[in-house]
Amino acid sequence: MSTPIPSIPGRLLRLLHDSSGPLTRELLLNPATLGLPGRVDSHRPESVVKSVCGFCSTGCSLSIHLQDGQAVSLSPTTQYPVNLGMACPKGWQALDVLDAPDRATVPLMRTHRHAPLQPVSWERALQTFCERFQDVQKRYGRESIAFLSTGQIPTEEMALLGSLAKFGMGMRHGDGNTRQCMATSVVAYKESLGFDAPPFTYADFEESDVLVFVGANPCIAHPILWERVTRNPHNPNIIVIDPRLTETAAQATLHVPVRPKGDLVLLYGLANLLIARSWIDRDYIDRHCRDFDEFAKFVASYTPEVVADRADVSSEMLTALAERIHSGQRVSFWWTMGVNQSHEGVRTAQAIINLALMTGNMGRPGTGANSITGQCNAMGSRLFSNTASLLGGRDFTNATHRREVAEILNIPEDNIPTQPSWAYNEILDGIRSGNIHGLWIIATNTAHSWIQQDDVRELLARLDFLVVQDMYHSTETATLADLIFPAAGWGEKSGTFINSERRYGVIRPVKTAPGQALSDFRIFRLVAEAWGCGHLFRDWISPEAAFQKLKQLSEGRPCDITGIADFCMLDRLGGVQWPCTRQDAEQLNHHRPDGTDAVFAANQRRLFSDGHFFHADSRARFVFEDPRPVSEPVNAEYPFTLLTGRGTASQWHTQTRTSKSAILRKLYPQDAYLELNQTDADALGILDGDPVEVSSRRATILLRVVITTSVRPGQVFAPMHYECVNRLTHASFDPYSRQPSYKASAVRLRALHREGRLSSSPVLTSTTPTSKAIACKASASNAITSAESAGGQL
Amino acid sequence: MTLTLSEPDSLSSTKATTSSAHPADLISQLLREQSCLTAVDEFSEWMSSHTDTATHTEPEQAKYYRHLLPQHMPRAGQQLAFEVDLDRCSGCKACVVACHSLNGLDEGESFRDVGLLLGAKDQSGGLQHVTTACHHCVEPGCLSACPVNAYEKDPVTGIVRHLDDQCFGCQYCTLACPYEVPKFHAAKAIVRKCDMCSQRLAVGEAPACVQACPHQAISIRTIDVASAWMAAESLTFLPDSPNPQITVPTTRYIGRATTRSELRAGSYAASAPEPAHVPLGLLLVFSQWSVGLTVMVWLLQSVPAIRMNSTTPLTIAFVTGAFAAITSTLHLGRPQYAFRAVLGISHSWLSREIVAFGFCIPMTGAAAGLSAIDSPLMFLSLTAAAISGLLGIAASVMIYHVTHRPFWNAKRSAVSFLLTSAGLSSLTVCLTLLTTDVTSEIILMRALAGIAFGCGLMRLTLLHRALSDRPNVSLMSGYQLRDVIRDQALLGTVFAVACGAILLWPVSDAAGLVAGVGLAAGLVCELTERSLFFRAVVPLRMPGVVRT
Repeated sequence: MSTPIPSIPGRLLRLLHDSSGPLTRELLLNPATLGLPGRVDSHRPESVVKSVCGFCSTGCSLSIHLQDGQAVSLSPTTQYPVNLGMACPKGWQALDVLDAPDRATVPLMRTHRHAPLQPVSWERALQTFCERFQDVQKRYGRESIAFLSTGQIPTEEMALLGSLAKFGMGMRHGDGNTRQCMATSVVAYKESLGFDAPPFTYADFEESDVLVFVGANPCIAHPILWERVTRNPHNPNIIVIDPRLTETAAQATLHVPVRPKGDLVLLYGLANLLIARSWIDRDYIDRHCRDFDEFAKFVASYTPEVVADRADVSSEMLTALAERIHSGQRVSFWWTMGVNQSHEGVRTAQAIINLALMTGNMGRPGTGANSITGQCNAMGSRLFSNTASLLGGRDFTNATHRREVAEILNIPEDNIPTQPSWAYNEILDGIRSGNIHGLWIIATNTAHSWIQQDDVRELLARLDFLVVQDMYHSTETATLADLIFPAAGWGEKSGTFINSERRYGVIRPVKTAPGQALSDFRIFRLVAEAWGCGHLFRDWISPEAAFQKLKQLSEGRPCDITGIADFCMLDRLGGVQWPCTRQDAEQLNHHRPDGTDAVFAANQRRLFSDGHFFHADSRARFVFEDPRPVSEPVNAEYPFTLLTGRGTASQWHTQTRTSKSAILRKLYPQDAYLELNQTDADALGILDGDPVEVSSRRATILLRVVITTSVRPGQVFAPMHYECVNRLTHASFDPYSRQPSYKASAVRLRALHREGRLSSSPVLTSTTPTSKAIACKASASNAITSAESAGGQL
Repeated sequence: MTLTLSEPDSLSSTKATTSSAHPADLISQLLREQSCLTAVDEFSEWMSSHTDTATHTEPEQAKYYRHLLPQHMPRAGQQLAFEVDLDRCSGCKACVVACHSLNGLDEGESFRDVGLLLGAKDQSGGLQHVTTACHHCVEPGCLSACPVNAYEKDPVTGIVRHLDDQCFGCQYCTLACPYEVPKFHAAKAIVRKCDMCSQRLAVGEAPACVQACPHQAISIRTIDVASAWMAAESLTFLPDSPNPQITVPTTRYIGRATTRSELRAGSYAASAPEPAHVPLGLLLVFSQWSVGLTVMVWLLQSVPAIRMNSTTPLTIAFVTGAFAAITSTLHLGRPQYAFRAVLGISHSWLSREIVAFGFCIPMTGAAAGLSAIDSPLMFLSLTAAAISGLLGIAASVMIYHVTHRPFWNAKRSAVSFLLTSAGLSSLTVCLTLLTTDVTSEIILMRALAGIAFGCGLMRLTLLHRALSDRPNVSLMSGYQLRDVIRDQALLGTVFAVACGAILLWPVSDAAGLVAGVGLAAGLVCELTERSLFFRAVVPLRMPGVVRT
C-alpha cells in the first residue's frame, strides 16, 4: 500500500500529530475474504484448508490460513457441526507451538547411559534401534520389549504402530497413555452395552432438559462442549456432581459436592431412591435390559442415611437430585476423569449407565450415558491401537478375529499374539520384575504424567534401552532416552482423529516439519524396513492408504466405516460418525448441497435408538459391585485428600506443547500451586500466596498456596500440568480398567515463613524450605521466560 | 524389489510409490515426502472450488454473531459499549487468545484479560471469571493523562482510540487508567490498546473477542451516555473493582455476580512489586533537590541580614535540574518526540510538569549566571525559577494523585516530595557554607543543619508509618520489598545522624566531610524512597488472577 508523499507543511503537521504512520498501519486489517475474518497483512489468507484440532477429544475443526501453501494463521471453522466457529485457547494457538527451539530436528543418541545425547543420522538411529532391541529380545525373549503410545496421533499411525510392533517385531505388550484417560469407559461400555460405544452426538447437549455431569468440568477441560450446553434452548437443569466447586459447578443449577470417591455410593443411593419412588421406566428395562432385579435388590441397602454418611450428600440434596432427574423428559449423563481416574471407576461409570438405562434415557435425542473422552484421538486408540484389543475392537484371544485380521492385512496368522497386551502399569511392573528390558515411548511423557513419578523414573532408568519418539527433545521422558526419534507433529502430517461423539475428522499437513523430523507414520515405515519386516507393510504407503485398511478392518463390526469413501468425504460432510455403513453414507450424501447447515443437522447420529445393544441377546446389562475403600485414606499424619486435574483451558497435560506459546503462558500461573480452603488455611496460619510444603508418603514438594472456595475443608487441589505434582500421587488402579486413580492421595501441609507475612517488620525468617522439597515450573521446556518477567519491562 | 524414487511433483501421498527394500533410499524418499505439502493444495483447491468468494465478503461466522452487534449506530448522547454477561463467562479465555491472534498482535500481547472473583469462605460463595478489555470510558483517564494527545474519543462511537504513531512512550496512561488497559509494548516503545476492533465494526464484522466467545458472553451495544453516568454514580459496576466514578466506564456487566458485593478479586493478596521507573525516580529527586535549592536561595536573598554567595547553590540547582530533565527523557520510549509533550497542557498534569520544569531549569541557570555577575535581574529570574519550580513539584504531586492509587494521594506525596526538597537543599547550602564562609553565617549553618535533621527524622517516621500500610494500599507491610526498605532506613539514619552531628559539634574541617557523607546518604535515601514509591504502590485494577 503506497501513500502519497505529504507536503512540507503536512510533514511538519504530522510531526505534531500523527495518526496514520507505520505503527498504525501495522494493525490495519484487510477486508474479510474467503468467508474468514479480516486479517493483518502477515496473516492474510490466500487459501484455506480445514484440519481437526490435535489437543482434546472435542474434535473442533480449524480453518488453516495459508500463504504459499504454508500455514500463517488459523481461525475456527464455522461450517463444522462440532464447534460452530469456536475454539478454546489451545486450538487458537495450535500452530504457534510448532515453532519452538526445542523441537527435535534430527535423531539423537547417547553412546552409554551417562553420555550426552548427540545428533546422528537416520540410518544410524534406525540401525541402533534394531540392534539394541533385537539384542534385548535375543537375551530375554521376544516379549521383553514393549511400547507405550498415545492418544495424540492419528488413527492410521496407531494402527501401523500396533501392527508393526505386534505382527512385525514380535512384541506382545504395548499400551497407550489413553490408559490414563478412558480405559475405564472402555471396560464399562463393553460390559454394560456389549461394545465400547459412547452412544451420543454433541447435539444432545442442546436437546436435553436435564444434564447431569459427574466428575466432569467441561468449562475448563472441554470449553467447546460447554459452548454446546450454552446453546441449549430448553433452559435445562444442569446438575454437577463433583467434590470441587469447578467452573462448571459454579454455572450449574445444582452442585452436589460429593466426598471424593463417594460417587459410587451416591449413584447407588440415587438409583435406590428412584426405584423406591417408582421413577423408573419399567417398560424400557423389561424390553432392553438384563439383571435389573438383582440390581434393585443390591441398591436397596443404599439408603439416604448411608449416602449422607458415606458420600457427604444430605438426604435433601439426594431427593432434589432424584426429583430433577425424574422431572426431565430428556436426561443426559456425562462423565470424564473424575469418574475414570478412580480405583473403582468402571463400576462408577456403570452406575451412571445403570441410571440412564433404568430411567429410559438412552437412544433418544438429549439422553444417554455419555463418556467425554480426553485426548484428540483416544477414540481412535480404542478401536485401532491394537493394544488391549485386536484391530477393530476385536479380541486377541478369539481365533476367528485373528483370522479375519490376518486375511485383511495379508499377514501370517501366527504373527498375531493370542493374548492381549499388559496394561501400562503392568508393563512398568514388568520392568520391575525383569520381564521388560526395552521400551519404545511414542508421543507421551511418562516421566511427567504417570502416577507416583519417582517410582516410574527409577523404573525407566533400569531399562536396557529406551527409545522416545517425540516432537520435542526436551520432554521429561525424552531427556531420559537412549535414542530420540524426531517426530513431525499435528499440522505437519495427515490422518484421521475420532472425537468423543465417534466422529472421524481429518488433519492435514500445513507446515513443513523442522529439520529431519518425520511423521510418526513415516518413522514406523522406516522401522519396519530396518527391522526386516518391511514386506508385511509395503502397502501401508500413506495414511490415506492405511485408512482404506481400517475400513476393511471395520466391516461388519459395530464401528463399521465402510461407507466413508475417503478423506475428502470427511471434509465435505463435516466429519462422519461411526458407524457409517454404505447405507448410512447414502443417507448422509442424500440430496443436500455440500457444506450447508442441513448437511450438518443430518450428520448428528446417536446409537441405540432401537434399544438394541451389542450383546448377543441385544440387551444391556446392569453391572454393579460393592464399593471399596480407597487404598490410601487420610489419617492424622496425612490429613488432606489431594485431588489433581486440569488447571486451566490454556494448559494441555504435561505442557510439552502449550508451554511453547507466550499468550497461553500468560493465562496460567507459571509456578505450581495448591488450592486450599480458607478454613484450613486459617487453621494452619497460611496466607494467600504463601509457599507451602506438601508431603505424601512418597515425596515432599514446594507449592504456592492459592486460597479458594473451590475445594472443601480437608481437600486440596493441584493441577497435573506441573511436573512435581505426580511425585505426590499414590499408585492405585481400577482392577478392571487398570486406570490410575489420580484423585485420591493423602498428603500433609507445612506452612513456610508465614511470620513474615503477618508481621509489619521487614525482617523475615529464612525462606529456605527444609527436607528435599523442590519447587517446580509449569513447563517442560527449559527455555521459557516467565510472562511476569516480561511484564516487568513496563 | 528395486527402488524407483518418484519425482517430487508426484509425491502426493496418495500417489506415493510402493516403498523400497533399501532403508537408506526410503529415508531420503520419506524426507522428501515430508517436506512436500501437496496434500494441502489438493484440499485447499477443493475448499476454493466449494467456496463462492463473491458471496463470502461477509465472514461465515456472521450468522452466529449478528445478534451480538448493535441494531443501529449511536445517536446524539449515545455511544458503543461492551456488554458482558457474566452468567455466560466460564473462564475459557478464548477471547484473550482470539484478540491476540485475529488482530495480529505480537507475541504474548492481547487487549483482553480474564480475571476472577471469589466468594467468601465456602463453596456456596461461588466463583466468577470476568472477561475485561478497554471500557471506552466517558471520562477516559488515559486520554486526560496523555501529554501528547495520543488518545481520541470518537465523537460518534465513543470508542477511545490510541494513536500509535502519536505516542512517545511515556507510559503515563498505564498509570492513569484504573483498569490497567493501555499496555506498554517495549519492543515498539509505545503503548497499544483495544479499540473495540473499530475497523471490523466499520464493516459490520464483530470484534475479535465478540466473535470468538464460545458462550456469546460478550456483545457490543449502543448505550445512553447518561446511563453510564448513572451506573457510575450508583457504584454498580462490578464487585471489588475500581470506583467507576473515576472514569465512568461504559462496559456493562450483567449477571448474578454483579450484585454480589461480597465477592473479592482472585488477585486480592497476590500483588507483585510494580516497575521501579528509575528515570522517573531520578527526575523526581533531582528536580525536587534543584527546586528546593532555588527556593531556599530565594528565601535567604529575601532576608537582608544574610549575605551569602548564591552562585554556588544556584549552580548546583541548575546542574541537578538539568540532570533531572535529561534523565527523565530516558523514560520515554521515543524521546525524539519529546517536544510533543506540550500539546496536552490543557488537561495533562504531565504536560504541565514538563512545561513548569522546562521553564524553571533555564531560569535557575540564568539566576546562577546573573548571580555570578551580580546583575540586578538575578532576583527576578530567581523568583520566576522558584515559582515555576514549586508549580512543577505541585504538578508532580498531581500526576500521581490523579491515578487515584491510595499510596499516591496528594497529601502523602506532597509531604514526601517537599521533604526531599527541604532536606537535601538545606544540607547542600549548609555544606556550601561549611566549605566557604562558615564564620560569618554560623547561626544560619546551624539552622540549616537543624532543618535537615528534622527532615531526616520526619523521613524515618514516614517510613515507619508506611510499614503498616494495608495490603491494598502498598506492599510496604509485605516482605517483597524488605531489602529496599531496610536500605532506606539505614541511609535515612546516616543522613539524620550526620545532620545532628553538624548541628551539635564544633565547626571544623571534619564537619564538611560529615556533611558530604550525610548529603550522599540523604540523596541515596531519597532515591530509595522514590524507588519504593513506584514499586510498592498497589495499582487500581480489574479483578485479576492468581499470580504465583
